[in-house]
Amino acid sequence: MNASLPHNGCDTLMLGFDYELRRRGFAGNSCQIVLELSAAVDPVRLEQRLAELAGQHPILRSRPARGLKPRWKPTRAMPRVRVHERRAGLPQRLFNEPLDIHRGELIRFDLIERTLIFTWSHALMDAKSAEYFLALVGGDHLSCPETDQDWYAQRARRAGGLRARGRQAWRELERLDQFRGALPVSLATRRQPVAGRMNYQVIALCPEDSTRVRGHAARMCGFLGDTNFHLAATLVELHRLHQRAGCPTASYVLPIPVGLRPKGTRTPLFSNQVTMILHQFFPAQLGTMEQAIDAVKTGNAACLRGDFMDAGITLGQLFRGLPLPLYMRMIKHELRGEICSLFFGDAGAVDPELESFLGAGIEGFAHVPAVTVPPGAGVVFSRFRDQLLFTLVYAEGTLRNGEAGEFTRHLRERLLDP
Amino acid sequence: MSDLTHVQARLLEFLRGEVFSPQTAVSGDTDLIASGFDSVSLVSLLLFIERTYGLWVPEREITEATFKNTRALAAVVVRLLDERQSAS
Repeated sequence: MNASLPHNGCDTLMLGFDYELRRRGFAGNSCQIVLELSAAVDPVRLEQRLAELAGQHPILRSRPARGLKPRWKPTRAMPRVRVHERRAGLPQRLFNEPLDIHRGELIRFDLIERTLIFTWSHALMDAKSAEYFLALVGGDHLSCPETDQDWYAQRARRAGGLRARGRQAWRELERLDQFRGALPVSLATRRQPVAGRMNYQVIALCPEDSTRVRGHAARMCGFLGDTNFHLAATLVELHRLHQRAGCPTASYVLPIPVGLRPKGTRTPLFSNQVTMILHQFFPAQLGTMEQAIDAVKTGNAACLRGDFMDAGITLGQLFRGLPLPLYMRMIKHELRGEICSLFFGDAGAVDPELESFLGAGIEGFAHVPAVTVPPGAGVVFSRFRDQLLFTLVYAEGTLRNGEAGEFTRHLRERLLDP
Repeated sequence: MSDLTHVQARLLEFLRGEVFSPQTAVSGDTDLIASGFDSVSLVSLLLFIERTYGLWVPEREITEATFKNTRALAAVVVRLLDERQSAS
């Protein structure tokens, strides 16, 4: 396995977000998976497993090296496992504790009795990889079949030579330019959060309610319509939140992550094989769920029909060698300082191999994402066994007293009674 | 080659090249959903059918039964093409 792997366009985007978050006093673009286990795990055994994996895959202890050919450079750091006594507010504090990525700390494990918090740098891997990595670390067989294949980079090359790729990337820039005609303004831009702290709310629906939501999704969005349904509900509630907060905006721009690994493979594991398709929605499209669903479906088909997914990938790949301050200026330039109105993600069903961890049963699961400021808020859905979950993340000050609880309550109600 | 065989072959070619990994064996009877086919794959496949046959599969046909496997999907595409031809 090549110890010095290149960053693709999405790895660079994640590093850019990391740079931006740290610059504004946040922990960076690191995410967590929280497992509630049936028994505490042995930290020594976990450390041994991680040391073995870090030996096989030096990327796990690498630092980002920027330049014209940005890549990972191995260091001598080893993944840490820390054991804590349970006390109030500890998980929240750990979620806000940065990884030292420039010294090779790309993952970290924190154990609080039967709670396991796995923190990973999003520049290293995406959420689906993180789930599978956790399944490998905690599973019976410690083998991690990694490849050098990069679906993201491969997709960017499909446009042809440099000139053809430039033309394709330009089309995406022109599409984004049009968004400025109805400029989105996020709550974070209106309210300027300064505290440097992210807050989280994880909502887990019971199996009966989760089945009900799936039924609504199938009825209103059709076959395989769960993500569209979750997105439409989030959009309607985001619009209502802006209205209640007295922060009108001409449009909402949301990035919809799309996984690029072909079905049937999980490799490459240590890489972001995701692209973000930016969609613009207008307040007039978000009055009802039916309107929002129609807008989501039309937007998805238009993006794929116009090849804008590939155009975005090509753009990301072409600019990955820029210094991060310049890169982030370029990202924010399109929407005059905004990146989007709200981060939305739907990780779908949790990796089925994540059944147990070092012999302990998994009784609870949650994704805890990071989000840039602006937009300062995000919603990520996932499904663990027969339960639908969603996590709201927001920078302190983006949502005010009671607004976060109100938003998650309304979103839950919207999902159950669209 | 019958229409059905031809359509199925084109659909399989697309699925093997664009949706599934080279390690995944996809045949006419492969359960697409169990193999990881998702909402983005669905839209990509619908757009491929539109580009190839000038046919947008109507909402009422986009069901689990239609996308169960390539054989079932090819049958629906052929029926829709026949219906279009009869109507014209």
